[in-house]
Amino acid sequence: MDLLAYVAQVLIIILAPLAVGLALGVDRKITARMQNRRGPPVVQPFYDIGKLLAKRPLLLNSFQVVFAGAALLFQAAALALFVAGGDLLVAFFVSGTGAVCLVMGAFSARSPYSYVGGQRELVAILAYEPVLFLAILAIGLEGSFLVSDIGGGLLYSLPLVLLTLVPVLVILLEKSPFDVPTAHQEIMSGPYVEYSGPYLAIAEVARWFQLAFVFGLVTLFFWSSDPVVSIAGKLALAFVVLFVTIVIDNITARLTRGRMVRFMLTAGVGLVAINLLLLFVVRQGVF
Amino acid sequence: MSVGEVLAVILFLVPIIGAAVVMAVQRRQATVGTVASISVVLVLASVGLLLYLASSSFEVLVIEAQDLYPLGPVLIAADLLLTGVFVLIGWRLRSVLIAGAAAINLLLTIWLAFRTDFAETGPAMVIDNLALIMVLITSIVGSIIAIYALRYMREDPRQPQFFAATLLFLGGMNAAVLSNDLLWLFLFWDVTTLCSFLLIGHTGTEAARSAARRALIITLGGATAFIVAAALALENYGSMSLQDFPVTGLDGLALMPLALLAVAAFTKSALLPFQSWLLGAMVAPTPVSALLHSATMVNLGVYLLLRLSPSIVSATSINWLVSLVGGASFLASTILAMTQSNAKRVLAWSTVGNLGLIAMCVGVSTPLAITAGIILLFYHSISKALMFLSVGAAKEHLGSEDIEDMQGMRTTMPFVSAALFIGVITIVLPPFGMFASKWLISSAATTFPLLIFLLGIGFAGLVVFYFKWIGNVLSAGPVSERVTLRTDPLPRMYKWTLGALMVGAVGLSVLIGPVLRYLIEPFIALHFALPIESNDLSLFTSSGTFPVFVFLLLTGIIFLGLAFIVRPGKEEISKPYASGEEFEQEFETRGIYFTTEATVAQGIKLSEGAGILLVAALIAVPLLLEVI
Amino acid sequence: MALEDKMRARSPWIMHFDTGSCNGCDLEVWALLTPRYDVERFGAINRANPKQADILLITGPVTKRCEDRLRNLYEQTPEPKLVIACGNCASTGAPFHNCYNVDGGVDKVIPVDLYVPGCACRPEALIDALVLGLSKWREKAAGTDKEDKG
Repeated sequence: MDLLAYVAQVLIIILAPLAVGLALGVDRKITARMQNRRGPPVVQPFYDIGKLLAKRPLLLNSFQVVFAGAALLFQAAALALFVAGGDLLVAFFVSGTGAVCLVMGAFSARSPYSYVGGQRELVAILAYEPVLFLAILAIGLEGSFLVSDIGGGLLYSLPLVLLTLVPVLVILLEKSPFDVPTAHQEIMSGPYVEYSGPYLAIAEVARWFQLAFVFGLVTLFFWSSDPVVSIAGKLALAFVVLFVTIVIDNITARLTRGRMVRFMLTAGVGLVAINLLLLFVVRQGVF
Repeated sequence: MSVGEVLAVILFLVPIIGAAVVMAVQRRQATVGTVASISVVLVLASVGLLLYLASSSFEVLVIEAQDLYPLGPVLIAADLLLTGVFVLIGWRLRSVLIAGAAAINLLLTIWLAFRTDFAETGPAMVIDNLALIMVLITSIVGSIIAIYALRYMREDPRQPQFFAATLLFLGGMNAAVLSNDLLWLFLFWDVTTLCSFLLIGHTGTEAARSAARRALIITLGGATAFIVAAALALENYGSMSLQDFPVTGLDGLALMPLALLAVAAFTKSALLPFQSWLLGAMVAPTPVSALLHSATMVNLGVYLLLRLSPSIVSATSINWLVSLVGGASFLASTILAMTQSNAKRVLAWSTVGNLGLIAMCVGVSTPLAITAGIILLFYHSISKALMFLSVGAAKEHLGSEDIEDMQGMRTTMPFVSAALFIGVITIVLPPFGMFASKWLISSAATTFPLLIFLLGIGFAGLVVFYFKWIGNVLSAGPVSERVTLRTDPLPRMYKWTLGALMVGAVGLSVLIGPVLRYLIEPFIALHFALPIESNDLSLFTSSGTFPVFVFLLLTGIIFLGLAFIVRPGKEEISKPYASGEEFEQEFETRGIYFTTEATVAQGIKLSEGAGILLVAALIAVPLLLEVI
Repeated sequence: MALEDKMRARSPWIMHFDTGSCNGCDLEVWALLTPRYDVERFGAINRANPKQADILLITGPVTKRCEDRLRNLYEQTPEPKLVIACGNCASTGAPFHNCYNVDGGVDKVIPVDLYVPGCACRPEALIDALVLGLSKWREKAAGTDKEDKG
């Protein structure tokens, strides 16, 4: 690997979560505009992180911090593996480990809201993880699990798989109707409730890395031989998906955890199945 | 006799003699001495066998029956005696099923013995790497469990019986995996059945007795399938040697022995629809559960499937049914495990699930999948033993095995909590051994896309039920005085056994490269093209890479490093948030278990129904093919 | 530390707590989040959790029942933090100051930085307090920063 590509990869690993931070700011702005408000500046998430880092730390026990740090490092490792063109499946499992670490952080603080939040986060994992796993296996079936070997054409062969990534992102972005784990105003902020100050910032940045990985998965669906078109198309696709989740967030109310799991395990898994079946039928030349 | 032969004989004969000694002497002191010394012998002998085979670069060691001369006839006599004992047990229990199955077994054994003129049709024992792996698991993990049991069962009035059965179990298991002749294997298969029956019913309570009876009915039924398969193999293939099983041109009735042996394996491994005996066996003392789940018994079933894998791979008309039985067991068991709050039941379902995965791997029939299956078998036994023994130690302290009662165990029993935590992360999370196999299974399953849907939901379920549990264990408020790892009052015997398993689970994950190269690949290479390359740092398949070492390093840094770095000051500690309310440390929590008991019962019925259909299809397909 | 201060000023997270108010001031506090007043443009969001809050908006006279809870919440808020007493009752206890079940204003229990008068306090006045509070917050933050270093 030549040095330039190496530097580019390192840059992407650093810039991708920052881009996610920016995207979250854009998200807050768009949401505000949809509600006829002015909304915060687009760089608001960075102000928040900066502020949190400057707060005095407060915690229940040190395990919380260990798990928040572990979540951050695992998510960063998953993203690094993804950017370096590594194995998608491994990256997925590593990212899943990061998500689990957050749950453990929530559980390790003995507090009622945190406990409920941890339980709900596990339910959310039960809802989105199978769909994400199947989406990745579908991509693997189409070509390779190695990100560096995945070419174009996914958008045409697996459109329904892309569609199932939308509800997955709705859960991960903590948006209605599937913001069950954090459920603001109901169980405060669920798994994050006992985190404060710098530790909350660590947990939040871990989430940015996780989102960067999943958005990265979305960008795989667009590919062009021209690098400029390719990058522009990837960004546009990611933005479209983000916009759809924002619209969904603003027109729905929170559903129960049971309905979330049922929806994801029927509609989500079903869409992947239909996509693979159609693909099989078309490839066999029935039509 | 060569060194290898001597070691092989030591591996099964010494524990059996030990069992006789324990029964004869009947004293606690003598029992402790015998069990401890036999454990040492077993560990040394199994490692010796490993070194012996390594010195000949893992050439398959074939032992002819005449080399072990007096043993052959003795074993046939024992075979007849044992099946006779089962008939008697059936009579005593007033169970037509048990007596009937045992009677069929007895008649068929006699017939087979005459048919073969009381001689073996092939080499008596074949020691390849698969057998070696099994011997290592049984001898080392089994010994650790036996030593743990010395402490756990210290107040039991019927200790000699217990330890005699345990030692016999280990010996029988070792002999079974070394045997090549189906009649030999059948004898030791029955020995494990007998031992599991004795151990499950050991406490003598009503529940224990009915569980033991159920286990006997199901596993004896499996034994019947086994002996019928042996007879059919003799008719169809002209040999009862596992080595001589044909690997090409299997069709019609020639598939029947394979199908029946697979069914026998399902009963032993407690896959759907035969899982009920393993769930019932939870009433037994914890070391028994550990023994059944990790070192012996259930491993024997999947071992047989792996042993037959070269034949199953070529039997394309039935191997998809095997993989479906495995996949269905995995999915159903993980879903059911999520609904349970009893730790041992959770573990039992998870065992069913993992064995299902191994069966699925054999059914998928690619070299990659079979490699994944063996890796899973190897690492599963260590982690599962660790989990069971931890639950046992926790139960002694808490008086309960319920997950909800383990709330905050980290502050009171840090050693056991650490053991549980390591057990869970080595089972579920990357980059440990079981994860490596999960990764390989996921890649391999893409050749059979239906399975990926079972896998997807199953893996997520696995995360949910394990971390719901471990989350409870780790939860701790801002209490000032707590027990530290060093001051943990856990008995020393527990600390050593749990510690050994913890080191084993993590250490062998670090060594996955050598494990793969020296233990697993020689077996795969005998029958297939090698699907995985490994150096000590990464694993490669045709479709991906897994930088094991980098991630192990990362995980080490994360958990140990952070734990050392993070030392909050006193002033940082705050109270938990409860809307401003003060509350004492106690508050009622209850995790999410998704369904009611009634729905769970329905779910079990439903999955058993699916299992019965699949097994029926497995037996029907060879018949149908024959008719066509 | 200019950057830190700027970040702080741009991201005041609030927590609202009702210590026994008639709900008049509460409605006005909630009105802050509606499109008309939209305090999110200053970066303020309602966290409903003291551990993640910077500014506590307290409404109502402190009843004896609420005293411990209020103190708990204050202690659970990490430094640097700011307390705003919203409305007459929260500032002084107003008509309830000598009630048998009331302690009086919020400052009888925890230190208060800013008092917003009014019955009920107007949202505009609350925004004013918030913006004024930001500069006061900066002073306090400078104090805690110094403490941390020294």
